[in-house]
Amino acid sequence: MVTVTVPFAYRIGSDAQCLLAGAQPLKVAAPALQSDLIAEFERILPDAHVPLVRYPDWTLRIELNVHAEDNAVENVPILCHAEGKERRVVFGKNAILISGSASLEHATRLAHATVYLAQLAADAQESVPFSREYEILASLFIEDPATVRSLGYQSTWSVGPSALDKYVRPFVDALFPTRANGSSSVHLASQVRYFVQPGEGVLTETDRNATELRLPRDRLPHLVGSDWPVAPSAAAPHRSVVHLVTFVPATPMEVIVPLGEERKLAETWITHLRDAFGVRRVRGSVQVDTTALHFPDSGTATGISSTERAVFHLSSAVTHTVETIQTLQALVRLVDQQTNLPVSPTIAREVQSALRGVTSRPTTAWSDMHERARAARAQAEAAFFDPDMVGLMYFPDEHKYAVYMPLFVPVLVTVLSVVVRELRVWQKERKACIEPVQRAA
Amino acid sequence: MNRSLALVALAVLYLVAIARTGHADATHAKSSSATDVFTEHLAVDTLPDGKVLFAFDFVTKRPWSSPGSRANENYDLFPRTLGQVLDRFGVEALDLTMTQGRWMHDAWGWPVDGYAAPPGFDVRAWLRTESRNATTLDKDWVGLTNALSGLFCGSLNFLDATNIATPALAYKDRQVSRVATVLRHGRLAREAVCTENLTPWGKLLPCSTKAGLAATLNGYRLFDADYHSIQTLVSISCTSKDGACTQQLTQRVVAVFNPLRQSNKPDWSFTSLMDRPWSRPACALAASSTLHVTLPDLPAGTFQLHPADYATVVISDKLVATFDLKRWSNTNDFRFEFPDPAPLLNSVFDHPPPTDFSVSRYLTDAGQERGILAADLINHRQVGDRTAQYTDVLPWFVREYLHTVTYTCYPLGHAAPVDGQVEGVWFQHGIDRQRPTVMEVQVTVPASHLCTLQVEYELANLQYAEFRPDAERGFEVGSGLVTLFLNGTRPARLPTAVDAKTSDVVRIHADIVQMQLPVPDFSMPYNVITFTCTVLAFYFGTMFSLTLSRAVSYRIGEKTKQPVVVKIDELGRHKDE
Repeated sequence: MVTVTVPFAYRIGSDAQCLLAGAQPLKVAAPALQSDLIAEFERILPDAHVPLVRYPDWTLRIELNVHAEDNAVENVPILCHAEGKERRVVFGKNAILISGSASLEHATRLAHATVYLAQLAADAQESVPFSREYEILASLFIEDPATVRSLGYQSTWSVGPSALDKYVRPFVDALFPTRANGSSSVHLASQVRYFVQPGEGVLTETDRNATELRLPRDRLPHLVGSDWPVAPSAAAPHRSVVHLVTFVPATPMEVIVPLGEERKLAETWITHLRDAFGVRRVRGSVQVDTTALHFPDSGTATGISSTERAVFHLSSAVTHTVETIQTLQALVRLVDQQTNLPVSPTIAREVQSALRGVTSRPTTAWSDMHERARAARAQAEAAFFDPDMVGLMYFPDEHKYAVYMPLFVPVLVTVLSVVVRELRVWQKERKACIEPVQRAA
Repeated sequence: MNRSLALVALAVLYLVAIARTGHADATHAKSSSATDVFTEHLAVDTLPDGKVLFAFDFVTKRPWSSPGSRANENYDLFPRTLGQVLDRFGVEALDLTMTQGRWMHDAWGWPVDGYAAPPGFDVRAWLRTESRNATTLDKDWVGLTNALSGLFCGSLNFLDATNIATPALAYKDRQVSRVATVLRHGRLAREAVCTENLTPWGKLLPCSTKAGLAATLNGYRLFDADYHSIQTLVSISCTSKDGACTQQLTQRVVAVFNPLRQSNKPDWSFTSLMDRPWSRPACALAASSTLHVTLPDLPAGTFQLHPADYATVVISDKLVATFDLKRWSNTNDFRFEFPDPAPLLNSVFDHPPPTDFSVSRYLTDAGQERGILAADLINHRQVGDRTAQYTDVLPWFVREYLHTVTYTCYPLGHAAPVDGQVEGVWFQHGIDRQRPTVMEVQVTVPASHLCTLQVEYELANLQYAEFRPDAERGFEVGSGLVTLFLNGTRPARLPTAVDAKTSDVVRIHADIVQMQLPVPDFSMPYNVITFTCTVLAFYFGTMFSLTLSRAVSYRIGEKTKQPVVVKIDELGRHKDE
């Protein structure tokens, strides 16, 4: 059983912070709340362990901390208190309302909320394959510009690039914060290509002559033709590309939803991007034991609420940590098995820094933890897939035969024949037991 | 959504209206993509020896902000695949030509600047030098050549430090003044151009090869031409110091066809030369699609261009028929007829020389150890000297000796030579396996003189593994470049130019030379193994059996007359007896 330790740190909110959230500061001492919370948590979950859903050998261990109001930890949820039965836990600017009967303690409610969030973190969503950098490419493919023009529309778009900048960029920045040098690990680009035809076999003859276009679902995977310009950029082949493709077919079309608005287009894109990157939807209300949790709607400019963001960072960090360790273990097994692999000091350094990244004391901010786990996973994969390591693996047997056989086979043949002859003579002498002839005196 | 569409998981199929014209667009942010402009143009000319020149020009322009800015990442007509490569490696301008054949100056006259290109692949890249030192530039150059070789399916990744030159004198007129750049020039003289280069080149066009003029490019006929060159030229120009900049991509195909190969008459039609139909030749995305046919200098009535209703303009003193392909009536009729071919044939066989300056490059005294590389510069003019720059980049294994450079001028028609006037020499000596030799000489060629520039060289011995497959063929040394400064004088003939301004510089690409290096015996490793093993086997086997075999004596028995083996201890007794 391998364990990933994740810190859950809360801070008692100050006057100003709680007032921002429409609540009041919690009048509880931090150490007391912490010990109560830990006790409650252990009561609900034995040993404070949550098993990971996709990695059955792994568990998540929660480390709970409640910081006092004057403690300067940043980027942690803030605990406030609201009127009536509500208690509020503030994540960023949005608040999770935790409500229950008045007799429940703060600690119990908080423990229920923590358990729920921990279970969300242990169940990461599927997402696009991991890469150190991503590129989001919004493409508009038009099969026949003349058809589009004849209907009175421009065969190009202006809303696409601006939707990318205004809506997708903040979304992506919320998921993957920009690095220290100002660059981001997600790159945005857009393109328009014309005379792009759907792949082979997608549209039959009847489709082309029909008045409306209907594609059965099983033909959808073949829509992307072999000559579609969807290759990653030749300039940055290490970036994985996430494609947002808008395809306009040549068949006469009827407008169902005018998408001239960039906001609607952006909403569609962000929905798909949430699925692509594995952002779990955390909305509405949930009942955990005796506590009800109400999650706020995002309604923000970024398309992702702070709770969802926090859960995403946490679950991704856990997944990346597990994958890093598994990759490093695979590397160790490989090196042990293949004794003629050259392992350069670069690889050793990458392995060590990947290991440091996942085993060091985790910070309290989940976005930092996420960044570190991503960097560690990228380094582990770079070490594992390093092209220098394959050097000596190909040493075919034919070469050995070709060089050594002509040298040694004639020699061996002679030696063997002589050995055989000597053996026979020796055996004959033993059997015959020849007495030396007596010399004449 | 089907999860298995991993990276393309977000294909969205909509029946969608993009933007209604004159509607919501006005309320949105700047529609920068609407200002990408694409134009296509075909220029047709009849060369002095009767061959037909087709020059396809596809120009895509887009607004361009400072390098690395976000606005550059929105691609419309400009191809994203090329644009991202240029942005990433900080390329201010790029000239990539893929050529087969040689522009025959003596038969075809002066080419429009850029129509003539050296044979093989030729890459000229101007890289921005701000915030990049030499090491970073080297790494970026490697990345650029690898990316370009992927984009154009050519082995451009062989352009490493051993065959890259930064000429000091050549291409100075192309140097941009907007920002500090360094020119890197590499050449692969041996590359063959084929369909697998044309297809990805065609994919960079907005209409691809599915519509417009590019749809008429037929690989079978194009690569059969006497001279063909497929070019990709990128440059950035800014209106004023901080004004708006435009990035321009010019894709050009230049081909010289011989109409007599298709039929025995000089009449030709587009379909007979290119074997593609000519109806609907314009691309819907082009802002303008034009055809210019230069009418030959023949008496009226001896030739007829169809369609016969054309407007004519005068460009560079030549009468040019212009057509707007967007309004081309849907007929397949684009042909040239010669009802009376006699004047044409007369002019082919009996015309004044089309150029007044020729260049010839050759090897003399050449063997497998040393030789002399010579370039003849001939000024046919009666009056007026010419200034020429000769640039030559030789691989490192051709060791030129600067002290052997001679420049002799012979007056045409006489034999007495005079020493020529060399205005300057710039020489970079090559370092084995690290960098090539670059020699640039600026000379004056007096009127009516033939001037020879000669330099002696020695060939190095290459290692066993440095030879190419088919080592006996030798190595092609890329063509030298002669840059001729016109200084305001117009040369004898200048065919139709796309834009009427003539440039002040003419570039003549000299011939490629082929050098045979001494080839080692490639069968030696096999010989060594066989020989050693044989010797070892014989020697060892013999010695081994000798040392271990027994000497046996025998005597002939008296009665039986057969040999009888005598045992060793008997020998002694026998002697005693």
